[in-house]
Amino acid sequence: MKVKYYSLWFVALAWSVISCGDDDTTGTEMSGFDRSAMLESMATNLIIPNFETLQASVNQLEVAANNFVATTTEENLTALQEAWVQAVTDHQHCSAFGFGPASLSLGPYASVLGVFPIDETDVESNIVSGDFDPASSFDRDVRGFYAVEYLIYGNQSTAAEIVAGFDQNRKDYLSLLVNELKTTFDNIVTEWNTTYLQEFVASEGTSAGSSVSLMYNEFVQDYENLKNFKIELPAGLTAGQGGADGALVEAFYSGISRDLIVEHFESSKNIWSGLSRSGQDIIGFEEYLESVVGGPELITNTQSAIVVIDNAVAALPQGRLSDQITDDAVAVLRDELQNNTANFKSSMSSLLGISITFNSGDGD
Amino acid sequence: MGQSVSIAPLVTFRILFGLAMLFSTVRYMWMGWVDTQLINPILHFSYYGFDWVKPLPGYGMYGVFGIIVVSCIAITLGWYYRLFSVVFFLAFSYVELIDITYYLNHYYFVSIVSFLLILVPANRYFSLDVKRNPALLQREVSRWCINVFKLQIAIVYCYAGLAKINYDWLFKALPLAIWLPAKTSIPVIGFIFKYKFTAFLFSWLGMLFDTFIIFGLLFRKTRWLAYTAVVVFHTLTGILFQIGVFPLVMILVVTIFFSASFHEKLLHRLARLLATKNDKEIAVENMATEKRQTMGRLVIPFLLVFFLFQLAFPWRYLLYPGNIFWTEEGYRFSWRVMLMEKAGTATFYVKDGMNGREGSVINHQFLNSHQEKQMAMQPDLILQFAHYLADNYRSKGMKNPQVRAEVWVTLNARPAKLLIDPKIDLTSEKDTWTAKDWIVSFDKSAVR
Repeated sequence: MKVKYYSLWFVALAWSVISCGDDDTTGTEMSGFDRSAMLESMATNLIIPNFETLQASVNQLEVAANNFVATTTEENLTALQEAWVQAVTDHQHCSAFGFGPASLSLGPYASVLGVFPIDETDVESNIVSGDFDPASSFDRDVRGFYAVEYLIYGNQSTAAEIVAGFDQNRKDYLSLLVNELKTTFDNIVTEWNTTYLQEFVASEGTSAGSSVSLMYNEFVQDYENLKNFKIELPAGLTAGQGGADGALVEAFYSGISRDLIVEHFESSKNIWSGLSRSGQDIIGFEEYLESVVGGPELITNTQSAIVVIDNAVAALPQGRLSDQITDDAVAVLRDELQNNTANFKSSMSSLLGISITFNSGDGD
Repeated sequence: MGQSVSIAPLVTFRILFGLAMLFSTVRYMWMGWVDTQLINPILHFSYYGFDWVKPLPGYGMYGVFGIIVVSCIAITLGWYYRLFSVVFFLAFSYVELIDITYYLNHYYFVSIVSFLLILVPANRYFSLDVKRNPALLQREVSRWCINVFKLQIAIVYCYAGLAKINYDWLFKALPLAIWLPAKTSIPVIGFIFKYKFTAFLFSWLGMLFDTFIIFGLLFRKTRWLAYTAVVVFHTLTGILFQIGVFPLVMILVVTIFFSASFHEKLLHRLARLLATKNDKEIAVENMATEKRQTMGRLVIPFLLVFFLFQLAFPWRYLLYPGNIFWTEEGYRFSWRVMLMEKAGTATFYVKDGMNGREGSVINHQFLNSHQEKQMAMQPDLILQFAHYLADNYRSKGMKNPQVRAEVWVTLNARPAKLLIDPKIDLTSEKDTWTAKDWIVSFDKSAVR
């Protein structure tokens, strides 16, 4: 009886606590947030459309590569380069979604097909030997978008030199790499549209392995990749580095690193604030945060950090980033991205109650 | 203390504990944690004074887990019990001591219980040891043999309850007001977690349950009701939170509070089920009584000291300045469970003492995500990682590396604040029992 008695007594007490003088967060319903609706909104307005756009541009890339292989001219090279720029731009808007169908056997697709810097020596020896098999190889720095870039831009080569040097082995390797890209994104889009969408929306919990947890983890990882590998490492701002090394930037051969950083951060913003790539308002993490304790404060902090980062991105020097990697604006951008990391990483997962790992927490 | 009571509750306890540990160990291996938590990590965070404990190379850790599995089975069956209770305690505690980021109060509880099991003759009835050597049979034990476990369980619950008596827990329903709304997708009962009232109700009931459940268990009249509450409470927390086998362990070990006759009936039924001859009448009077008393004379003063320590150690936090949730000085080994929602982002900067170049560290190149998460909010682990980084870069040829860390921590949904002084060179700090003056006070630390 004792227990029952206590329970009743304290139900009453708890009621009185709530009903009298609750200042900050009023109302009895704390969170009517519909995670399924967020997942569906993100999937159908952002994730799937972005992958479809990337699929289309990769297919265009394949057409351009086939043309170039068939008729190896400077005009076709230019067309191929343009197709590549479009594809790699669209890739920035998908790299944060490396889960589900986009999680390949070697890991999230961007960690396999979006690797830079590539290993020029290994690429050249693969070209010569002609026995590279993407399906069975574990090498990541000889394939994907940036290995294609190396082939079609060369390392400080003129268009004429590239065309002149594009022998059959090079053509075969190009076709192999482009084909792997095409197959991969065709598959990702097909899977999302046939089975995965339903699965994704249905898993609306917050435990490790749930859709919210997967999407969140990849979002943070992708944001940290922007800071760590696209900015910090080439700028020589990583611990233990002897100095800056411009050759470590993303898209070193084409020189469009700056544009890709802009696109990448655009993508991070879209995911956080819930915007489709075309700017249509959807349900994202910001809306989710609005519904939880401490959320409004975090939203304010994050929004002001985003404004500061936008300015820092805009202040990046124009032209080839690799030549200006020691510019102060680069270090400033790193610091501002760093300043926002806690907002995206620990504070957000803490407030939303998202489990990051499968390990047991301390229970009672 | 010296009075004799039925051995049955102790025997059930031995069996249930052995089975629970067997399940827990097999589950750990099944989840692949031997690899991901013990073998794969590049570095391990050590317990104060135990930095000499390292994982075994190669398949060594699997060997240790094999030994733990065997000792769980041996404890359950009461087979070479004295030997295997010691082996289990040592092997389990060894694994536990490898990496403090996996610290769980229930691992600590298991270590304590398995240590206490070494001291008691839980194999003197319904065991393979008795079957092997009938002279060992003993139907009664000194009262303390059972009471030590009750006392230990009482400490766990009461201290867990007392720790919940704080402003955030009772008057802001934190952290439950953060955790519960994330659980609305649980079938059937999920909808109640979106109401703020539920968080308050659970906070208060949780505090009252932990603090007072032991009294319900102690008295015959309330025992079944209290045990029902135990089952409901732990089942619920087990469903709600990612807390592994802890609910199961508590539901099983708490049965020691039931009466001797309950346990005797239980064991008789089990015996009939297994059709052992173990239960046959065998002469009870033997040397055991004499030996037992000698043992008791030595053990009881030791246990007094042991439990005095148990009772006092959790209060050590009072000797440290500042908010215990923030500094975590005196937080562990105090039955503070599910008490706060805390998370941090720690960025380490390593400076070359020769050329002054400073660069930041990509934590996950050294740590798995669990280690990184735990490290980023606990000052002593931040310090350990800083020293590791200094050693690492020194070994790569950097002269006099200096390490500082910018650590933003959110506690119970408050805006993140700096946990430690971001300017201080952590390599010049040491972890000691004294207060860490480089932790920024919770009240003084400013929001960005």
